[in-house]
Amino acid sequence: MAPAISPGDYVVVDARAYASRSPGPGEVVLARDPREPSREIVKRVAGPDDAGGIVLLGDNPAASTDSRDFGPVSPDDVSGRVLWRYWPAARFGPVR
Amino acid sequence: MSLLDRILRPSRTASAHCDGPCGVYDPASARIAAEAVLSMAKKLVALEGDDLAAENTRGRFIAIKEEQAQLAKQELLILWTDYFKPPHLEANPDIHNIFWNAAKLCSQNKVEVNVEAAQALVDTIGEIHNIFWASKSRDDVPFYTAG
Repeated sequence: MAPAISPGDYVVVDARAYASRSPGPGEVVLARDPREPSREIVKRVAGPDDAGGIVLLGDNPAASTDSRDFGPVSPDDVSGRVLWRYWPAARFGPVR
Repeated sequence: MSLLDRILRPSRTASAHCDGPCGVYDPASARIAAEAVLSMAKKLVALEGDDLAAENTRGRFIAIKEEQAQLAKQELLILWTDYFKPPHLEANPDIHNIFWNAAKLCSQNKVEVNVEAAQALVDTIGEIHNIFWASKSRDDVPFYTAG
């Protein structure tokens, strides 16, 4: 997810963000990896697909494993929205 | 762990990077190379004559066997080191052993003209094929050979 998030960043996730609405295009989300359900991944929402799935893409398309590989994910597998980075302090601020 | 880190550390860890630029893996590429090795070993055993034409043909068979055994090894190492992850190892504790044997068989097939070892390589790749597709929850990919 470079450059928006780097490995090792500490972030705050709003787990209720999608209780009453669907993930919107451009939002950075926490989701279950459909290939490896025990693993959670951080990706950016590209948008909904025709069947109601959510298409997730990494910001670094040349080096990202995302919906191009594993297809759209179920909305149930999107567990929250990444809002804020609090560490490292030098890059404290909203995740956009 | 420092006190600061204990206070700051999040409760959950997510992966923000990826495992490869394309995510396309398939043991078929190793299988095709191994089949070429097997074919060359069989042809070398069957080849008769010691005239120039036969020597030339023998040389070509040996070169192809060498090259395809190296290719099979390379394709196997990509699967082993790039595709397979610790969770796969939990499901299949024998993965390291199987790949190690497969890589050893590639080497043996370079050193020797050995139909049995070539067949063992193809069979081992069949075993890897089954583990690989099972790890992707796919039961619709049968192992077949072209030769």
